[in-house]
Amino acid sequence: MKRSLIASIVAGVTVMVWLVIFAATTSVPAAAPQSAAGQAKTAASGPLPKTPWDGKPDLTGTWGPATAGPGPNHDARSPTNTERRDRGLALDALYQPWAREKSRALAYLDDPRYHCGPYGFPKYINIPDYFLLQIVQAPKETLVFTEYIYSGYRTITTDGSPHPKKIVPSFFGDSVGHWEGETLVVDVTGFNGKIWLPGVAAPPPGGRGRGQNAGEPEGGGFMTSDALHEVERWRLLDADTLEYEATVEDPKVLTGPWTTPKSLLKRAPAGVVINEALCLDPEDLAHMKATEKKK
Amino acid sequence: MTHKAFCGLVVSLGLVAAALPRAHHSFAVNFDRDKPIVVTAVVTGVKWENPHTLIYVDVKDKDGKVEKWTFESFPPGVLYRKGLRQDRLKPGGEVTLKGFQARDGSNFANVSVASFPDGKSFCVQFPGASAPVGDNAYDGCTGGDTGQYR
Amino acid sequence: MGKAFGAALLGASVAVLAFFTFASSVPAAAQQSGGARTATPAKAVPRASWDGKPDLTGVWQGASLNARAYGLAELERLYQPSAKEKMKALTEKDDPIRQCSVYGYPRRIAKSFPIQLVQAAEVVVVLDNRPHIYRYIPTDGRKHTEDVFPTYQGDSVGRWDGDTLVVDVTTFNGKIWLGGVEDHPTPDSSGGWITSDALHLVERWHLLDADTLEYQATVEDPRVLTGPWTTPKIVLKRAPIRKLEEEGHCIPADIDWVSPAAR
Repeated sequence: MKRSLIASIVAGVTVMVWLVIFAATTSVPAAAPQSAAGQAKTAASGPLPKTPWDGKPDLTGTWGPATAGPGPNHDARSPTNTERRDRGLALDALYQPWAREKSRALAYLDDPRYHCGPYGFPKYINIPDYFLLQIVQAPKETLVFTEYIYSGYRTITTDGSPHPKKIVPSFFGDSVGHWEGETLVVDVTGFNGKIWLPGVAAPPPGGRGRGQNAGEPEGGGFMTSDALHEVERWRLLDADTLEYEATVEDPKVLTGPWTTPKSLLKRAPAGVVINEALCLDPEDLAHMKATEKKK
Repeated sequence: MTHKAFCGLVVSLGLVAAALPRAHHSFAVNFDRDKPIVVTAVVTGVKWENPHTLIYVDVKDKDGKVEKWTFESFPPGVLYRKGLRQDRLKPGGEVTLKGFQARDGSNFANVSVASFPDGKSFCVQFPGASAPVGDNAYDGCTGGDTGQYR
Repeated sequence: MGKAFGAALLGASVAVLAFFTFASSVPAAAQQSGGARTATPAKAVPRASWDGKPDLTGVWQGASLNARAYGLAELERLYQPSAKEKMKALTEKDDPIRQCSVYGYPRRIAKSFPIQLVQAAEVVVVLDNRPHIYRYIPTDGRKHTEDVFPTYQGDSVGRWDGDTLVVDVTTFNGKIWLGGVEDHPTPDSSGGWITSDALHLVERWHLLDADTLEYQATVEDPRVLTGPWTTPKIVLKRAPIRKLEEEGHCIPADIDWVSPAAR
């Protein structure tokens, strides 16, 4: 009885040892041909590219706003001026009264970019300028790169690690992502309170239009606090279209959550990568400082 | 080590900023859509920097008098991405610049289109530079190259 | 009891002081022998599942190397006389790192602040927070981009040479330094360790084991140097942190102006 028990145990252990050795020395089949095809580089839309290590949609690529100019990337679904204005008013309505007053009084030079601060997210997604977004998806993290006003990057942890217990507040916050089906859901916290949300606050009565489109209100900025918390949803609609949406809460300045409209990004042509940008020559605040002193 | 300790000594930009014309990225705040200008000029210098590339030109008026102008554009990487590079935009070269003048009336403008003697032109227009078309923002240049890639 | 304790404390302090002095003056390669101090054997190099290449992903931290350990004595001998004149005129305030730009490579590797590498299917990325910046190193076999604007960090392309990632970097803007004004490998050293836009950097990144990353770089700059300079082999150890812990964005201090409304 004892002998057969020992023999069983030895056999079981031997099998386990071989299994462990096998697992440790054999890499997961890489499906190599697929990984090359998965990095869809041409403009032709096709099936979603997938990462070879886990079969998730691969967001890797360089992405441009779909709404920049009437060129090939212009998207017919870009918002009208009326829609833009209405969105600004809707967000403005969510501000707590004290915060609304302060936000409307902010000067354009209070915009973080004039202090070498980034647009941050969600605002960077919607800049209709010529600035791009680049994503690198790796097994345990997904990286997001920007190029305005400097080379800001985000590290989205995707290996199941939670937010660190102690987060040093930052412009981009701390990002933790997980997949819900084919959507990458990213939870962001640990902001430093210095970024603005997209859009502009409503003008005071009689205020004239400014900004990018006639009819868009002038003045102000949608400030945030260090209590800002965001949940983003990143999803490939097809091989060349990336959809982004974010729900934002900020109990210190807002009365409730705000969800951005869905934004579309289009894949840039092959070979395009974003640029290094260092903020060394910021908009001339020194000039404004000097001007203010003279007053 | 704190940010401040790390960043160390401050570079005084005061003198430099005073010498430079105002440089702002928000088009509508500083440039006037109702003051379009077109100049054919000789480039005297180009400051390829982030966040703005500045193009210094000598413009000859009808009487042959030279006026100095500065045109502002996107960061160098963005211009390169469109194909507008140092081989074209360089001191001594001729360029036709279409853009919008600064609101303060100074010899400072924002570039929309840069065209060259060989016929090639580049649309590098800032959003908000064009008047809306109906209820839609219109961010392109008329004719020529559009979009952010070459 | 007090005396014995005091003596022990003094002895321990001397030992610690001696250790750090010794550790900083010994060439970096010799620090590899530190592995022998640990009881656990070195772990095998992890490999990327999609192509079997060594996986450099992780947060890596080296010792802070003094000028001699970093090989600057040899670099000093290579500066052309005209470049040496320019060097001597430079002070700490001219150092690009004091103006919110970057250390650049290989200078960054000689610092003890960690860096983070992330390896994906066709790229290796280097993430930094001293200051906040990234390097994008494609490993898909592409050549240098012909018409990219010169930058502080240059244009990097990587390829695997066996188990070593070889990174070739060109198209620099000439503004980074190879060392600081504080780096004095010899008594006569002074000034900033300038480069030009002819700088060409070749780096070799190589995992010795799962927790040890070895870096070596060769620098050529025909406008300022008479010949190539190769750093010693510099060792980084895997740091026990998941990711870089501060954003590290550098803001030029004189742009703190805010409107009255924002105060």
